[in-house]
Amino acid sequence: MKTIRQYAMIKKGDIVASALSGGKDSMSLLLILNNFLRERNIEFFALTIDEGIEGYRDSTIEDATTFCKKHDIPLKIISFQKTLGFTLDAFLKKKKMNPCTPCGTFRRYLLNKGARDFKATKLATGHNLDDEAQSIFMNQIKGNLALSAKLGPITGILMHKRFIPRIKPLYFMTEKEVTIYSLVKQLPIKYNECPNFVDTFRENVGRTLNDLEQKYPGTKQGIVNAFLELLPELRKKYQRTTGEIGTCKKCQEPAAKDLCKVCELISSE
Amino acid sequence: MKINVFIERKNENALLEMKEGTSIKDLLALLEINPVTIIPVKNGEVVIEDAKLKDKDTIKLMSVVSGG
Repeated sequence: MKTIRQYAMIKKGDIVASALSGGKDSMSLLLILNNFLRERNIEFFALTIDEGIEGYRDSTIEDATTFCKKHDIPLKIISFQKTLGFTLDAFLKKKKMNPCTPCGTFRRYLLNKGARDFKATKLATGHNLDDEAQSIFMNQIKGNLALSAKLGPITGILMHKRFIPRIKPLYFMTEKEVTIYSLVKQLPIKYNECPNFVDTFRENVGRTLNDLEQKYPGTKQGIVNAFLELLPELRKKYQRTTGEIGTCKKCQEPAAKDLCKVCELISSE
Repeated sequence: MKINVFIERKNENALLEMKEGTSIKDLLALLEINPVTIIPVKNGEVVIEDAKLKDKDTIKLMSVVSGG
């Protein structure tokens, strides 16, 4: 809540879409928002994306539905099948690539589109301190500071009129703190690994950061704090990627090039 | 003393023989698990890593890291 206030993430009159996967981060976020927004009379709803991953997503959607019913939170579910015309499983059968790449791209696209279609003015995601420290570290390793300029607790304010600004209220909470919160609040969370999950770059970086955190407590916080000091300069330098962007020629969604990443992936068959 | 351990991330159960007076921290060192990545639950209660172990304790090591 301190983070929401410190960064003025949500204002009166906003309609907040809270991305809900059914995991501990997104459920904890929704519970925090449920208390914070109800008190302030701010409209909000949960938004779930159904990628169509057999044996995985069905049970998390069930958890999300039960949770929203219990707390009287409106839940919107958007499926790959209905909006894109295929499930992730079907897409991956045709293309050989790291499954997380198309999954993440399609998911981000549909979260933005879904939030906008349901009139949201902010899209809240459950990214925590670990996620952010990993992203900063990964971009550092790849030498891609332009990508880091797109990070931070609030993103996408000026990018495109069809782009819903994203907020990360759990930005300063470690993954461990979020897990403890979800335990204390008795959230219905089971350890559930995505069947497509592979040993990714992110996982390796996460493991390294956890080793460093164990040896030098405060490592992740330090990485994120130092990054936040640099972020205004980074955003100035990379204004071309963080400033206003164009429109996809095919689907009219926000795009950095002629085609957005989703249309690019679909048409590269 | 015998300790029953369940490692959530691996979905594995193990029965370990430990010396009297050892703690969760010692158990984690033995299993080579980084304390940052788990939350220890002793006989159904969340405990700190300095918590001492007793014979027939059941320890669940809940995973903090989500898998994809």
